[in-house]
This record gives sequence, C-alpha cells and structure tokens, in this order.
Amino acid sequence: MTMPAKGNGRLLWAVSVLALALIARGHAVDAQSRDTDLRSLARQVRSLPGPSAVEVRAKAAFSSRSSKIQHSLLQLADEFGARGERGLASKAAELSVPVEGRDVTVKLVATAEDELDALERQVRQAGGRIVADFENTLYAEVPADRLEGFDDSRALFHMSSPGTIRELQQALGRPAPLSEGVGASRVRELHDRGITGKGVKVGIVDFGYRGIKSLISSGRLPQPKGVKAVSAPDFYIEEAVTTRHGTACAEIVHDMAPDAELYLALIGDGRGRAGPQDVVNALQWLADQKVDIISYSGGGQLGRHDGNDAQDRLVDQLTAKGILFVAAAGNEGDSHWRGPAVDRDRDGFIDVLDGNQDTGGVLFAAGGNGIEVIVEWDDWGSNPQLPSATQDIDLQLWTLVNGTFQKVGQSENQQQGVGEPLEFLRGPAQPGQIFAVRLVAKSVSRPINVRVVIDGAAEMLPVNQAGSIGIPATARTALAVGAVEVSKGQLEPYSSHGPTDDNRLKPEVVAPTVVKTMAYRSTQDPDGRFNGTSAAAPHVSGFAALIKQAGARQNVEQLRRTVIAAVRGIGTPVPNNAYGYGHIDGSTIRVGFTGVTLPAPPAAGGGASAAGIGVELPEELGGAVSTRTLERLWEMAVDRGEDPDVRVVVGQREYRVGDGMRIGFRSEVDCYYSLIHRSAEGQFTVIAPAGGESRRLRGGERYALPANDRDTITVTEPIGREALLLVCAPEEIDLADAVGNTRRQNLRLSIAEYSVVR
Amino acid sequence: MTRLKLAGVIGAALAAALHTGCFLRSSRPPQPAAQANPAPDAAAVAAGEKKLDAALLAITRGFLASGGAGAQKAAAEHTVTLEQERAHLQITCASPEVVPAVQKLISEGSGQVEATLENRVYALVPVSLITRLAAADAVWSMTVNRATARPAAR
Repeated sequence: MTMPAKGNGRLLWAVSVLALALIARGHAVDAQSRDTDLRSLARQVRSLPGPSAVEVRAKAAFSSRSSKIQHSLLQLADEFGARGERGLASKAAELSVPVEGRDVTVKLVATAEDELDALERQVRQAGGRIVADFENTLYAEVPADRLEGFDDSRALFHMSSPGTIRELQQALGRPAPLSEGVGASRVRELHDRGITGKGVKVGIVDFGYRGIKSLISSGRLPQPKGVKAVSAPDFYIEEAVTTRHGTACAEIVHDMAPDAELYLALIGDGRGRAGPQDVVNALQWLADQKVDIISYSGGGQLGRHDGNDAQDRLVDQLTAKGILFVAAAGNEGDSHWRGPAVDRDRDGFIDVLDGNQDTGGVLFAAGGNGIEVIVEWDDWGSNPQLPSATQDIDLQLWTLVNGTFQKVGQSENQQQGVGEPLEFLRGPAQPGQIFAVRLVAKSVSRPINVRVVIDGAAEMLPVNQAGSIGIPATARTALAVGAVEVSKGQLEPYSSHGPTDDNRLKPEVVAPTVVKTMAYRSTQDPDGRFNGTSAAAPHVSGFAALIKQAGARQNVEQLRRTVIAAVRGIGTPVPNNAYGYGHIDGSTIRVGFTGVTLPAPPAAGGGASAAGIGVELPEELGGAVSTRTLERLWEMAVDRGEDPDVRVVVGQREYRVGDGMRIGFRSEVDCYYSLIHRSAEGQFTVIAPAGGESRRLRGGERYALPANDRDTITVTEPIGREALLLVCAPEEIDLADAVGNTRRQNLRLSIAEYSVVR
Repeated sequence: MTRLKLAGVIGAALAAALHTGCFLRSSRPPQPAAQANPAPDAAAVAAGEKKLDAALLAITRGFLASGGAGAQKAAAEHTVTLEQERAHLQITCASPEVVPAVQKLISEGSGQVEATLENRVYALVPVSLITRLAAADAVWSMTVNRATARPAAR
C-alpha cells in the first residue's frame, strides 16, 4: 500500500530531517567511509606482532591430561593428594594461587552465560563456594581434590587460577564499594553520624535479581529480610532470569541506607517485562510485610496520565497505609510526543506539529529488533473506574521501503463510550529502520490532547518531553524521581518530564544515574554502569530511609514532604517539571548533639488562598482563579520573555523568612493589571487585586504593595524560589479567559523572581 | 417463629441466587440457580462486542469461525500470545461490588484470576469464555493485558 502523495511528501521531508539528526549523532555512516575504516583496521590487524615466548609457554601450561583445567591447578590437586593441606599451601604459594585450607580459589569460564547456573550447582555439589560471578565467569573456592572432576563438565569451558581474584577479593573484603550516588547525594556524613536507615524496611519491586546470590554470599549485600517471586516458582532460581536490574537497585538502596532492611519482590517473565497483575501482587505482598518504603524502578505508558490509573490508585492506597512509594519517572523524555488532536488540513490525519510544520506523523528510527507504539488521549470519561472513551482515533504504522512508505500495521480499537482511549502496536524491526506513526482522526468532536510514545526508537521526530512521566510515577502520592548524570550533574535527555495530564508537577526530585555497580560489572563494562531513572529511584528510596530513621515520628506525608525539601534546587524556576524541587542532598539534614534537624517541608496542598504560602498578604488581596489558567499564563510569560512596557520588581533577590517585603510595578501605558504569586511549591495565587478582577493602572506611574506604602509584607516559609507575575491588558482582564486565543495577543507580561531562605 | 424461619430460608435462597451470578444480568429477570450462566443471546453478544478491544474482538471472531486455530491466527496478527488457547485479560467490572461474581464466572469457565484491584480483574481466560464474559452486565470492558511494565533502565 502506498501513502497518499500529500502525506508522503510531508513524511519524506521529516525523514530528511531525521536522517540528518541520525548522521549528526553518528547513527549513519556512509558505505565508503565504513569500507575505509575497515581497510585501515585490516592493515592494523596484519601488522600486529606474533605470539611472544611467554604466550607460547602459557599455552603449554595447559596439560595434555585435561583440555579444560590449567596445569598449575592440576599440580595443586596432585600436591594435595600427596601431602595434604600442607603440601597444597606450599605449592600454592609457589604458584601464587590463593588457597584457604583445602579450598583453591579458581576462575571458571562457562561455555555460555546460560550455563552459569549449571556450573554453580556443580561447584556447590563439589563442596565449593561461589565468590562472585561476572557474565559467563564464576569465581569460586573449590576443594583441591575436586578440581579435576570438572574436566567432564559440559558447562565448563575452562578453569584457571583467578588472575584478578585478589583484586576482587580485596574489593569484596573492604567496606562495600559505594555508589557514586552516595557522594553526589551528600549522605556520607549522615552515615558517619549513625543515620544509616536502621530500623527502616525498604521493599523493592523488580524484574530480575540475577547475580544476587553471589553478592549476598560475598557480603556486598545483606541477606534480605524477605523475598517473594510473584510469578516465578522460586526467588533464588536464577536460570530463567536474565536481568540484574533488581540486584543493582538493591545495591544502591544498600549503599544509601546500609542498615535498612530489604524486602525483594520479583515480577515478570525474567526478561524484563511484567503485566500489571504482577505489579499489583508484588505491591500487596510488600504491604503485608509492613515495609516503610517501596522502591519501583519500573513502569509504563499504557494508561491514563492523570493520577487515576488503577496502579496510581493502588499507590495512593499504599500511601494511606503509611508506605512511601518511590518511582522512577521513566525514560520516555526523548521518545514522547503530545499535542492537540486537530486536523487543520482536513486530510483525515491528526496534525503532528514540529514547530509550525506538520510532519504528517511521528517518525522514528528503530534502535533494535523490536518496537512498541502507544497512542493515548485524554478522553477517559468522568468515572476513574470506568473508562468511557468517545473520541475515536486509530493508529497506523508505516515503514520506509525503497524510498516509499508502506503500511505495515494498524490498531483500530473502537471508542464508542465504553473502553479506553488507547491504541497499541508491537512488532519486529531492523536497527535503523524508519517508521511513521499516523493518527487517523476517525471521530474527534471536541478538543483533546493525544500522546505517542515509542519504545525501541533510536531517534524520533518530533519530540516533546512535557508530560512524558510514566505510570505509576503519575500517582498523586508517588515520589517520582528523574535522572541526573552523576559526573555532569545534568538531567539526562531521556528523563521523563511532568506535568501529569491533570497538570501536577512531576517529578518531585532528581537523583544520580550512570553509577557504578557490582551487579552490572563485566569484562565489557568493568565499572558496571547502571543507567536510567531506574538507577535514580533507589537513591531516593535509600535517602528516604535515612530521613525516616532521623525523623522516626513523621507520618508518610511528612516524610514525603521532607524528602522534597531535602534538596538543592536546580533549574529555573524551582520547582519545575524536569528536575522537580531539585537533587536530593543529605547536607540539608543537620545532625547535632541534641538531635537531628530536618529541613522544613513545603506547605501541604495548594489552594488559591494567599495564607500559608511564601508571602503573607493582607486578606483582602487574596483571590481565586483556576490554577491551570494561572500556570498557562506563567508559561506564556516564560515563552515570550519580558515585555519592556510593563515591569514588576521586588526589592531584593533574596529574602530571609521574617523579612519585610514590598512589591513595585508599573506600566508605560494605561492598562488593567493582575498580580499573581508563584510559591516555592509551584502554587499560584492571584494576590492583587482580589477576586481575579483586574484594576486600572495608570501609565508611567509606579505602584507598590502593600497599597498604603507604610506596611511591608512578611516573608514566611516555605523557603525556595518564588516569583511574581504581572499581567497587563488594555481592557479589563478576566483571568479565566485571559489565555484564550482572542485575549492572549493583548497581554503584557512581566516576571520578577526571588528566593526565600532561612 | 415459623415466619422467621421462612424469612431466613428465603433470604438464604436470595443470597445463593446472587452468589450464583444472577445479578450479572441485572436488567433481566432472575434465572434459576441451575441456569446461572446460560449461553448469552445474540443481542447480548452484539452488545458485548463493544466492550472488547480490537485484538480481543478479532480473537473471538477467529475462534467462532475456525475454533482454536482461528483464535491463534488472529492472536498472532495482533501480537497477542495465547497460552493453550487462553489469553491474559484485563477486565474492568461495572463496580467493585460485582467483582466476586466476575471472578466466579472466570473460575467456573476454567479461567484463572491473577490479581484484583478495585473493580479491575486480571485473569488468564480461555478464548471460548470471552464472549460469555463480555455479555455479562457485570463486565464494563475487556482488553488484552499487555505486559508493558518494564525496567526504567537504559
């Protein structure tokens, strides 16, 4: 099937842009340069030196007696047979092989990674002990008289003296190597002062804990207090589990809160996928264990994004039971598009805008061998429990074949008042294969926003990060965590952004990612770098455990708010939908002789009243208007920059709690004005005039608040970045209508920012 | 005393009838307990089809046309994995109160409830049972349960 010429043209234009982006990022290399590279490499290979005498001798060290076992190990076995442990110790010293009693430390390389478990079993059956495992290699202590028996093992490729095992043992013998996130989160001093998460139960829900046995046996991780395999027969049977994701998460929680008790729940198919039923069962089990904190470095995009998804509601129920739920924000910041469902050119397809240009669809290049496409729109109906979509959108998937797009798939759920506003496709792909997602506007009769999320895209066009937060990080009471690269201190481009579809701020905080772990260490990646918001979330879970210990009497809401307060702000303004309130920071928690001082949490909730927010204003100045409208006004002001004709100023850039403050503003021309306050928590309040109505402002004259010019406004907690937004217009402003198309062109906007400190 | 006993018996019978799923079809007259799960009529089937997502609809139609093979073919076309002619479903019930009745319908039809959350039931359901489930008033909508939760790792 060939796409209509009009749509094809737009898509091909977009493909060109995407191709340029790919080339710029090094995804595409032309054939000629690739040949050149290979030719130059071939020359290098030909000029490599031949085997040295040492290497020839090393090769000869493998005995003809055994094809798999290093000769020196056979010598040790012989010595043990002839002279017992004393002979073994003497020979081992001569050969520099670590020995303890009758046990020899050896390195066993498996024929394949999936043979590792068989090899582990054989080690145990031989009376040995696993020290560590990396990829297809085991380090183990094996009785000397059982070494030769491994020659018959189908799972063993070869056995040798450990080589780097001393280094490994030294590493394991030291206090556990800490994630770099511990330093970046500044919690070492808390550890030194006894704030270690003692007495706090942390539950982890994860997709695989491969390698955890060896980390526990080596002392790198403590024995978990409880484990549960939700859909697998046994937690510790690792044969069917390929991912070490949960092991790495457990390491990070342990690094951050070394004395916290761990409860581990295993979900999914062992390959990194799970259905919601597993998540539900795992969370319910952890609730039964009465954990204080749950860490979930997972999630998805298939569902509603307004905090009313079934999983969101479960999170809220857990919170009501006193459990803090910490969730990875998601990694869809660079694979997400959201926009209004409009078809301006009436070609039957929803316009996908990249700036002003309709690309005709969402384009992407596959990064691997499979893709998933999720299309969702805000049409769930009024009852959170009964999805009732009425706006019907279909999904078409096209791929580029010889310069022409061909349709390869479609999802056509009917939305007729029952069911979910969702379309979903999953399919195979070749790396680099170009796809286009087209959205058929089958029946769209009212303004809605539609989102497209691609899993498996190396590059996507267009992209917008706003609203890419995953589920259940969307939950109202969840503490959602974005990812900051630990060495650069910058937000990762994939880290999902808020707001939620009901316009709540997300994520709440950010934490380190791309951190070293033992779980992921391998010969290819000796540092075992763990990347994603997955790595960030357990830092916050451990951090919350420290605060939980320090402020033992806090309830879950106080705990949540204290974590949010214990940060260093990043971005402008603070909070924002990329970094939330900022990076978790243990230095905000003071530990003194008289006890622990926790940072003051931001005020709870929102509301339109001026009372309780950063600036305490006379009652008559408080006003109320839709928060969403005020947020949109703020966004317009940020987008457009300051208008030179209007100006709002505050006396200082920084105020201390308790200071007096005055606000000045003026306009060059006669206008009507409204003054809006944005608190450190992101709450908006109309502070002047009252009731959301505007008041006349005479051109060129300076006005001040409080109006009588004698009193000042008292600055109160919470601390953080605050701002004032002055909105002016030639006619009276109805704020509720101010962001409408007819009004917004006439608006003049000015922002003044300041900080409140203690 | 006799009246009280009689009232008790009637109450117990009513409770039993409710338990057997009569109220699954609340808009229809109560059925005798022995016919609690009758085959749905054509109108109910048609109404039920609107509750299914496109993949389930195709699988059901494939099954009705060509049995297990037809269901398997439709499932493959929609990238749904069937386990011995059973599909992982997400069933949204009309209210939390009717969840036990839906669970009963599933287990009586050789399905397996995997988890329950408020008015949502996650279950492994024989393809042959989908039409009957969809026709029940207690069921609001049904979709394939896609295992889309994944680690947030890069």
